Parts: sequence; structure tokens; C-alpha cells
Amino acid sequence: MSRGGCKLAILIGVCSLPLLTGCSPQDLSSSTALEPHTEGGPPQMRRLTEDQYRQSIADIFGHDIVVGGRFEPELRMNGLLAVGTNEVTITRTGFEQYDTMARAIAAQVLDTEQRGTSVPCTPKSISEPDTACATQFITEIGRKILRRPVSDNILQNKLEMATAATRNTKDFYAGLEYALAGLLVSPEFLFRVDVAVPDVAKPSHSQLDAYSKATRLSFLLWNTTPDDELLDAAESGALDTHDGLTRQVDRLLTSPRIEDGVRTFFSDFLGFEAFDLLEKDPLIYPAFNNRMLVDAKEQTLKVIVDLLVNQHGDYRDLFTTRRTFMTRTLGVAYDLPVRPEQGWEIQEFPEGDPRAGILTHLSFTALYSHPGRSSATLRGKAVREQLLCQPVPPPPNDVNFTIVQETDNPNYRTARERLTAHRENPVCAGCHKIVDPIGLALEKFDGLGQLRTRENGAAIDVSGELDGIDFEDAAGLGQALHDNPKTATCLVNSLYRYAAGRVAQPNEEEWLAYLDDQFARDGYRILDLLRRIAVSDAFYALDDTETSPTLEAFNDG
Amino acid sequence: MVVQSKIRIGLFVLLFGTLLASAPDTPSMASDTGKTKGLVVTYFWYAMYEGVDDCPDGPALGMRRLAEPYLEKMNPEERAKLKSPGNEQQLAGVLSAFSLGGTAYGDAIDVRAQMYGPPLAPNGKYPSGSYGMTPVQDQCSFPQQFEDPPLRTVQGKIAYGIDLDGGQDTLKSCTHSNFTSPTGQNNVDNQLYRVLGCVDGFRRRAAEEQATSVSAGTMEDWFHGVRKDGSTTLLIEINNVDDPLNDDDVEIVLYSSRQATPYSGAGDNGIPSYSLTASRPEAKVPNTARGQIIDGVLTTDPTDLSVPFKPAGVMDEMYYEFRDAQFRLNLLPDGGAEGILAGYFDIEKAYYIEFASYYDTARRNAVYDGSCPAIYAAMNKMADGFPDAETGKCTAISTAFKVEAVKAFVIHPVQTTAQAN
Repeated sequence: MSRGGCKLAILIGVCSLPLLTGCSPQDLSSSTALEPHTEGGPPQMRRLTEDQYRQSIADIFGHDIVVGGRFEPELRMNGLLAVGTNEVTITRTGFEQYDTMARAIAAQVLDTEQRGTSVPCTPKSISEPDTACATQFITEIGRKILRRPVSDNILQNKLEMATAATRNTKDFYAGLEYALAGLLVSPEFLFRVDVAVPDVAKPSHSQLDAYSKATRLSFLLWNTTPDDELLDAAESGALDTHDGLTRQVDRLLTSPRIEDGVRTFFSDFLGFEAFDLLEKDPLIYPAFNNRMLVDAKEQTLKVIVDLLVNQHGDYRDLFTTRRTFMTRTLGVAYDLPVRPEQGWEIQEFPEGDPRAGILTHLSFTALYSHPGRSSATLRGKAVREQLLCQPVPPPPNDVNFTIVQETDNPNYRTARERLTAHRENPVCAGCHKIVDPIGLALEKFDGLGQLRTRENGAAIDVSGELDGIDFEDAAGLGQALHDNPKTATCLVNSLYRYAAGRVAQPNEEEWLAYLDDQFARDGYRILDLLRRIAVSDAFYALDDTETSPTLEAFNDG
Repeated sequence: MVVQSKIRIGLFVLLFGTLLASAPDTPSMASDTGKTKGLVVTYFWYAMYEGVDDCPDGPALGMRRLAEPYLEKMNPEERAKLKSPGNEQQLAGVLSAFSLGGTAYGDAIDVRAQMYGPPLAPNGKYPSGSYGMTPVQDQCSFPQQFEDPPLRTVQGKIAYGIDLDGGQDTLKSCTHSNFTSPTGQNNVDNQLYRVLGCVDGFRRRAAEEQATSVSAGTMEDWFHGVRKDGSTTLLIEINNVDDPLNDDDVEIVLYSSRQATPYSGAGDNGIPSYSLTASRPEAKVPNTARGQIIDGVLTTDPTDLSVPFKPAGVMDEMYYEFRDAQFRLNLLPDGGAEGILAGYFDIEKAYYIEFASYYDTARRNAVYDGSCPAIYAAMNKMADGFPDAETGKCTAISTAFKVEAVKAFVIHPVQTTAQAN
């Protein structure tokens, strides 16, 4: 067992958890003989995202529970918020927010209308402590909240809390409220904590315990806390068997809720949190409004879910598909008619329309633009970094951007002309050479994403090349991206990074290559890729040589 | 007569309202034929030229000026208070009472009658209002029973509009003076501009012409405001467009929409490319014209057209009912259009929709500083179209409306979908 894992295990009292019947790594490895062996990475302690927190509360207590309050800011690292969750902690102010939310949630769960369904027993007296009933409540609800059985220490702690509060308030349910609020600010709830147990097959190694597996699985595929069936599978040891794990993976993958998992990954992968801060100049783009931004993000997610989940389609087709979803608000920017007054309409970009693929969606063209003008550089950089996993260095501090920013300069009427002049600075030329040809292909979409054919009266040239492949327009760029082998490889690496919550380790290179190959063999289908990750050994492997953040750090901090 | 018109239009809007309520909500999935252009109108109001020499005798005498002698008889303190800034509402109330009577200034109507007109009803009984709440003494509802000083009308030579009668009196016209258009076209018929052009509330320029004007442009502000605030939306659909620059036979259809006219938050500009669901008027309402496009200018043949209009605070849709209406619209490269809709208004209908169709007509009269009796009389005097077969007296008056529109997708709830470009 790694030191970090042991610390975790000791702290949350699961070191003594017995290895359950059927916990045999051979069961898994026997059916994944082709899967390269990995040593995995260090145990993770990942703070729940706002979405995960909200969804967990809804799944545990019901969707009518109101979650109010501000969440700690999230951190994008190595291209993903998911990786940042392993690096962030909770500040004192942030904890106060969590505490406030927890109290408000507990009050709703235990108010006079809800307590009949949320508390599984009736206290002997409503004004006095009832240890048996409180124990039952804390044990049952605690398992859902903490995503594992409540340890004796935690149970004792919350019982004492409930008893003391009941005595002070003369209200049994007020006592439960305190205990419940306490559970909701537990680090074991606010963080997804990997718990390591010894690997039976390799005594010198450790592996994730079944509840940690359940948690990884559930957040990867549904972006929420494990449901009862998954926790039961962990408790029974089924998750430690290949068949049991596969059965649960397939259950989760075939549930409609897989949509949540796919949407969450792509929101992260495509950097959609930037929508929260996106602004456009209303004088330059009078059609812009906040509803349009909400719909723009949703449009792309709908296309993703439709193609990759509902149609079980090829991931690369996202960059070429003309099938899309439209609202009346979006139709203004796309210059397309939309029949329903409310809601969405499935459409195909019409013949002759230069739009094809999600690069031509507002979610890309508006997001990677300035408030008052388009940006071939931002768009090209986004394609390189996010879709091809090719980091682009930041510009030097002393670069003069005047030529690029002066869109009304009569000597440089189009973005291509301005960027060509800008590249005369050799310091800039290197990076712009690899990003501009991509971004310039999208220049017929202005800073909001509306189609235009001319800029300052000059025709816009949208031809370009991507890694040696020439194209004539935005649709050609989409096709080039579709055909570029790095596109699929980047998706594989990103999805695994997202799943693991960390960058891939050197020992995982062979595994990623294998995964990349399997992705191609599977027809670039995202659900198949998720399945391969979810049933793999690699997804649950722990590296003994690494240490990780521990709850001690949290508790000390 | 005015009262009859009220009843007729009231029944009409009731019927139309019923149709609206029963219209299916589910849009069709018909595809774009590419031969239809859609427009949403962002400006539709009288085309007011407002030449500097329009009103050489000064502004038309409106409520404020007519009431001045009465105000002079007031206690000086009360008068000063009424005229002080911030008391416009109270002053409007007095002016309203000047035409209506009222509890606070009950003698105003009698004073007015003594000064400007004969007693309304020698027997002391007034005709009933068509609405229970309409005060029977309302001079705007019964303009013919008052004799205000004659309206000062436009004396200028230039106005917007179209030659509706072929440049000379015909069987469909009465003697009148023609205008010249700002671009030099002769024989422009726009007698309603002659009537309204010197009334403060209809004349934006009144603000610079008279230091005392408080009503300059108020009517345009109000009507345009009704469009901007979403109360009324007008759609134009141009069908059978084979060539957007030159086409000898196209169809123009007018619709209203329950959705708001799209404007930019930053100003008056319409936002193009919105999809707006059309509300078809009642079948008997004429909403279709035929015409031609020549060098990008759409011209329609004379026909009756009813332009839907729904003022704020009025439950049901109303109509500007044009006779021999003709569009002259420049079709713009961005899919929008601008130009004129000209034609004739039936005197009674025109007077009703503009001056007598609202509950508090007298208060509005005060706001735009007009005189309903004088305007009504002038409209009859200036009438230049559709002479009565027996008397020869013209029953309609020529007019012209300025039209501005941006590209829109006109969505039909059931049958077909008409879309821009």
C-alpha cells in the first residue's frame, strides 16, 4: 500500500475493510489480456465540482431541494477542469459557503413535510434523543453522502452531534439536521477520495477499494454520486470482479443518464465554462443576448449527445456534421428560420451554407473571439490546444499587437492581411504559423459567429492548411480535422485524463496507445471508449511510489 | 358616422380575437422555397416631411392654447401651480376637463362651450357614449357637435407620398392641391399630412419652432413606442419572387405577430433574421396585394389593405384600413426594406382610429395638443378621394406612411413557411 493511500485509508477508517469474496484481479485481467499493464497514478483527492455537488444532492435528496450559495472557483489544469479538481482545496471562506449550503439543505430535508420520507424511522419522542433512529438515519443517508458505509468514528461523531443538538433544542429532527449538515461538510463528501487497499495478486502493490471504484465509475459516466445499486455492487464485492464490474458499467452506459456524463466531459473538453464570462459588444453585435449564449452552448452539447450517444456515431463526424439543433434565438445569429416558438428544432445546415461541424457553431466562433471582433488566432489556438492536444506557447510580453487590433486600418482590411503583417515580427511568426491558417478558415464568421463574406469591403479568403492538408473553407477545415489522426488521439488522451483526474503517467503511454488503437477499431465511438476505460485495470490502478494529497492536509488547512 | 364605425370595428376585432385564440400553436415543418422574402416592420407611421414653411400661421390651435383663456380666469396661484414643471399631469387633467367636464373643473366644459362653440345640447341631454365609461361630453367622440377655431393646416409644397389619382381630379377625387415629393415627383397626394402637419403632437419640428411646445413629436413617440414595446408587430411577406431585383408579378401579404418586433437594446435599430410566427387576420380583412419589382423597388397595384395595429393597453387588434393602397419599397441588399405605403383613409375610420378609439381620448388630445373638432372638420374639408355618388363630397383622404423593415422569417403556424431569401 502506498503511503498516501495508507494515510487516506487510516484517516477514514477503512484500512480494516476486509477484501470481499470475489475480489480477484485475475477476474479482470483474464478478460482484458490485450490491455497493457500500467502502474497507474497516485491516489486522488478531487473536490466535487459545482455540477457534481448539485447533482449529488439532487440524487440523494430529490430534485426539489434548493441548493443556494457560491462555490469555490474551479481550476483548469492540463487542459481540463477535471484535472484541476485534484489540485484545488477549500478555503476558509469556501468552507463557510459549504457550511451554509449544508445547513440549508439539511433544513429542507428534515422539514415537517419532507422528514416523513427522508427519515426511515419514527423517534420514540420528538423532543428527546433516540439513538436507534438517529443511527439508522445517519447510517443510511451517510452511505449515500459519503459514497461508502459510514465508519464507526463518523457514526459516533454524528450521533453525538445529533444527541447534543436534540437536547439543546428539544427537537429530535433538529438534532438530525445538525448531524446531516455535518455529513454534508465532511471532506469525504466534498472530495472524491481514493481509498487504497492491498492488491491481493501483488502484495507489494495496492489498488482502489470497491467504493472508490464505484465513485470513479459513477462520476465518469453519470457525473454524480453512485446510486444504491452501484454501492451495493461495491459492498458485495461484485465490482472487484470482471463480470460484476462489466455489468455495472453496461448498466450505467445504457442508462439515459450517460448523457450527463458525456455532456460534462465535452463541456470540460471544449472549455465551456468560459461562457460564464463571455461578453460581446451590443453595439457591434446587436443580435447578441445572454439567451443566445446559453443556447449556443446547449446547441453543441445537443449535437454531441445526438451524434455520439443517440446515434452511437463517429467522434470525428462532430467536425463535419451538418445536422444541428436550433432555437429561434440562435436562428437570428445563424440567419436561419426556426419554426417552434419555444424549444429546439432539428435542422441541417442548408446546401450552400458554409457551416458544417461544431467548429462553425457559435459555441466555438463566439467563444474564441474578442468582445468586438473575431480572432483567427484564438480560434486556431483552441483547435491546436483543445482538439489536437498541441500546446501553443503564450506570446512574449513585449509584442506589439496594434496591427492585429486595428480592424479599421485601410491598409489591412482583413484578418489575413493583419496577421500576415503581424507575422513579419519573427518572434510572433512561429506560433502564428501553426494557428493562423486554422483560424483564418473561420473568418467568415464574425466575433459573434454570424456569417459574413467581406470584411471592410474586402473579400474574405478562408483557404488554409492543417498539418499539410490544404482546404478551401471552414467545411474543409472540419474535414481536415476529421481526417487528422491526432484528433482522435487527443480525444483519447483527454478522456483518460478526465477520467483519471490527472495527466497520464509515463508508465501509461503503452496503455494510451492501446486505447487509441481500440478507439479506431471501435469506429471512434465515444461510448465504446468510455466502456474500455471503465472496465480496464488501468482506470483503477494505483502507483505505490507516489504520494498524494491527504485528508490530513485538508483537516490541517 | 363615428359611433357606427366604433361598433363595426369593435365587432370585427372581437371576431379576430376569437380566431387568434383558436389558432393552432404547432408550427409546420415546411421548407424554405427560396422564393419568399419575409420582413418585420420596425417603423410604420405617417411620413411627415415637416418643411420649415409648412405652418406660416403658426401651430394648430390645440387644447393647451384653446384653454388659455380659461386658465387666465383661474386664481393666479392655482394657475402658476398648474403650469409649473412637474405638474404636467394635473394640467392635462384640467385640459381634459376642458373638453369633458369633470369633478375638479366641472365648469370647464361650459366655459369652453361659451368661448368656442354652441351649447352641446340645447335640451341639456347628451347622446350616450358608445362605451359605458366614455363621457358623453367627450369632444373627440362627438367632434361634429363642437365648433373650435379652424385648424391651421400645412401650407408647404413638399410632402412624402404617391400620386394616387393620376395627377388630376378624376371620378375618384375631389379638388385639392398636390404636393411635390422631396425627390421631385409631382402630383403627390397626401391631404392627411396637410391636416396633421401643423399639430404639435404630430410635428417633431414643433419643438424647435415654438419654445412653448410640450407636445412636439409625442404621437410618433407613442405609436413607435407601441411597436418598440412589443404591443404590435407587423410582418410583410413577399411571395413568388423569382428575381429579387426584377420580377413582374409578386404577391405581398401582411400579417401581425404575437411576438415582439425585434429591436437592439441599444437603440431603434431592428434586428434582422428573427423567426416570427404570423397571425393571419380574419379572412375578410384585405391583407394581400400584387405588384412588381423593378430594379429592386417593389411597387404594388392599388388595392384595399388593412394594416394590423395593436396599441398598448388595447385588448384587440385594430387596423389602418387603406383604400387603393400602394407600396413603394426599396428592397435592400441586407434583406430589409424601406419606403412608403400610401393610399386613402375613409374619413370616419381614419378619424376614429387616430382620435376617438381610446377611452381617455380627451386626455390624449391634451397630450398631443390638438383639437378633435378642428381636426375632424379639416379632414372633411381636405378629403380628396372616393366621392359620394350622390353628393359628390369626398369621403376619403389621401395619406402616406413611412415603412422601415428588416429581414425576418415569417413562420406560419399550420400551412406553409415563408422565409427570407
